[in-house]
Amino acid sequence: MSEGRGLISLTADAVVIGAGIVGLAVAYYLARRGFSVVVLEKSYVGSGSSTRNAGRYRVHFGNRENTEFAIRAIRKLESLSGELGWNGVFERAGYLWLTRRREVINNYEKLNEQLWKPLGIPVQILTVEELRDRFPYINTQGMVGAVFGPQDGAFHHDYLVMGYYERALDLGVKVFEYSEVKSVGVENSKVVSVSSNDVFVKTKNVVFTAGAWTGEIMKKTLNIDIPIKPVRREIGITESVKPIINTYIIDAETNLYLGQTMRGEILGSIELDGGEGFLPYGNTFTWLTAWARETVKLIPSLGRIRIMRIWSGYYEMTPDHSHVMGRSSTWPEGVYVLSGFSGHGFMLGPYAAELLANYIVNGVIDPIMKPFLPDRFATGNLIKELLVI
Amino acid sequence: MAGLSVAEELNKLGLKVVIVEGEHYLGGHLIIDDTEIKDLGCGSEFIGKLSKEISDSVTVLTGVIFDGFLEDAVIGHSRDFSRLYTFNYKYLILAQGFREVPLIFPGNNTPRMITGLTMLKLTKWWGFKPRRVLVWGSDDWAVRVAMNLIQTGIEVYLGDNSVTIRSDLYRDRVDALGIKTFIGMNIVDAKDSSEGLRLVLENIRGKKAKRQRREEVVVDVLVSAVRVPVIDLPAQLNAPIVYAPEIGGLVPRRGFTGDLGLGNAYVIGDAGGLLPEHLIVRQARVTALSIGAMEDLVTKDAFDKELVDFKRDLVTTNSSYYNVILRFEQGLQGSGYYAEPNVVHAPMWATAGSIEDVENALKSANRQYLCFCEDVTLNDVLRSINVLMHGKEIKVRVLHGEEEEYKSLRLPGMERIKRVVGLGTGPCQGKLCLINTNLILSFIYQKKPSEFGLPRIRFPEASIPMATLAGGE
Repeated sequence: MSEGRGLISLTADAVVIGAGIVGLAVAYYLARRGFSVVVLEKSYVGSGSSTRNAGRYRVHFGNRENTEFAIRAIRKLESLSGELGWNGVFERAGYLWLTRRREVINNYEKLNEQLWKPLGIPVQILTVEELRDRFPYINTQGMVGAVFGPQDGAFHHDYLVMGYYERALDLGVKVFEYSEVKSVGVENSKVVSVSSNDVFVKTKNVVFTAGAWTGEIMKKTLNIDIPIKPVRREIGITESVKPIINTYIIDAETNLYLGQTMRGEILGSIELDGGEGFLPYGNTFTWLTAWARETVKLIPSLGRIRIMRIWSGYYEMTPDHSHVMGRSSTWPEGVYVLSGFSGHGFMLGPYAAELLANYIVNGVIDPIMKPFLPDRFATGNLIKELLVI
Repeated sequence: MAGLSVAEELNKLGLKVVIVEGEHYLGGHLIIDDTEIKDLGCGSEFIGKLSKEISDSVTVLTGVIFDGFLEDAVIGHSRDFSRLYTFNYKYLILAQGFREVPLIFPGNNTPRMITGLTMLKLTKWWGFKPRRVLVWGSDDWAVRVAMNLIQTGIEVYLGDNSVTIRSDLYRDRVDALGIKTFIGMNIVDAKDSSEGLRLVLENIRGKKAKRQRREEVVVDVLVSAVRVPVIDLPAQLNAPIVYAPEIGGLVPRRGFTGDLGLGNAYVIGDAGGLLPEHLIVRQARVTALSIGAMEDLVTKDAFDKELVDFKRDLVTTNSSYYNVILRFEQGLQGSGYYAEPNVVHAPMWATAGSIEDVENALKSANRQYLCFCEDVTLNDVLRSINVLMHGKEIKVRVLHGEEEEYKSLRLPGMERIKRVVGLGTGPCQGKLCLINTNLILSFIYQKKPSEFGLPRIRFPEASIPMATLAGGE
């Protein structure tokens, strides 16, 4: 086939752009429904945010749309070890939000009564005494209480990425690494092909699952504006120590978060302002010292524990901090997107991928995905989120 | 020694120099080396002299670990964790030398395997006196470790699966000192017992060898003196790491002055490729003068003359080193492209010295540990490659690796292997396993080391307690 500049020429029912957790899951569920799928990844599998995250999941969001979506998504996520044959090392350690202001805890109480309880995921509102009793290692100075969500937990990102990768290959999905998409061919307002630096695929469907890069690549290939912006976040990990921290701690005031992995490493970060754009994958002294300072303040016993490694990755932020899935009627036929998870791609991605695959194959829009359609950015009908962690 | 030498030269030029040393003493491994080093005399005496010469005019920070590079600071910390340092400099010279790495053979998960430097410290400083040891490795350093040990009255064997003793400088000394050798032999099995470590050695090339030899020996300690250049900090700086077996394997690509091509960072001494000590002293002068020339402290001519002299000496004494650096600087026929050679010998893989041994060595892959922090064996790694290749059969054609199909076959990179088996994710962060694994895999599959690559080597160089970073608030 001469029209493609690529060396490898293929035909497929769908092309997925990006081989992170979301792209691999979309490819896998499409293949399960009988599609032939090609995945194009500009670096290596999982090289974006899928292997740079903290590996935590929660069902507690600040609005109905996301919470309902998350309840189903987490059920899916927690079942993946069996489905994929790779141990996702799931652990329901819970999330613990520490609050230092009365109005913050009041907000949580309100959310709990109005949203979480009715949906069957009540949180426990803890007094300072209860907090001290259950989590004695936390310095409760200045705190007014805490919120504990026992339904939330942790997983191992690498194994789930590998699980989707291996099972997708089992179903005949072709994954090309180091293959950067250059253009999407459109004729009569329909997708006809996708070409990368070394692959040309004749196809009717293309799914953009490029995480933080989705906005950039949709603009470049199809001149579609989708408001997904990268924000760099830094994160670090300590040496393994015996189990000390039995939950995932978020200080709602300082934006510090901390958890301990099953291997014993303490993983955490502090979210500072800034970081917008594709900053290099580096780290800053400002962040490192702020993280260490706040950590030691909150949990003094961690002072002697040693930081072993630090790195950074991108959040893929949308204006309403919620993901985008499906397609817009104004786009060429066959263009789909699943991205913009704003830091929740791993927890929500697998379930969203299954819904999207069903939509692509059968044309069915599940009611649960309706609020997340891309048209909302044009109509201004955004999702209101009050709690972004 | 490289660090002290370059500090002295820079100081002579009138530059303000700070030495950052992680140990509590200066001089690195030479501090404990009492053998006669070519052109320098006794290593420890040479270091003593050099340290004295610089002590008045150079700021020396001992017991301070250089952690590496953040976007807004370059930092270090004291070994007692009491202090955090930030470094501001115009030029950075990395002189971290070499690191001895664990040997890979079936049964290498034994506490009786320790490195040469540790062995010398234990015997000379702490009174450890084993009866019998096997020193593995036969380059300059390994032979000197053996020479040092035999001086203390220990019964010493020297082994390596190279064809001959690799050290040109000290080859004659081995026989003269009565060191028994197992050269051209693989360690094919090992078992710990109360008597010691029982090692079974066989000749390399298996049945194809002209002379068949099989030995069993029981030693108290197996000393690994196989060394690799320390590339952590150049790698943190994103300097390209390339394979050059003539100078110790994976090294940062740099020029004759040690310039990493980053504008202000240099690497000298063994960290930039293994080099005999007397040439390191010369190299230090070249590096210092190149900085001096940039700072207008010496004339360009003075620097050029020194560089030409250094190159001339290299050509006559270490032509392979000269050739490698020339290829680093100019690339293939001046194109800038450095063509990596194939790996024909991974010195740390004590169980396969030649390509004919690989098949046999792989039979015991599940007893050969690569990563000691996370207990990852060679077998785990090979299985992960199988999974990542989705079970695609890879035939290793020993002699015809250049076939088209094989060449186009893309094996998974070390980054993905790491994510499957956890190799290099423990406390040492891959310092003891990444290079070993890369070279052994490249050797097995007959691929260039750059095709496997190395996982990203990240800040910090050594782990730092939270409280040290948090400061005294």
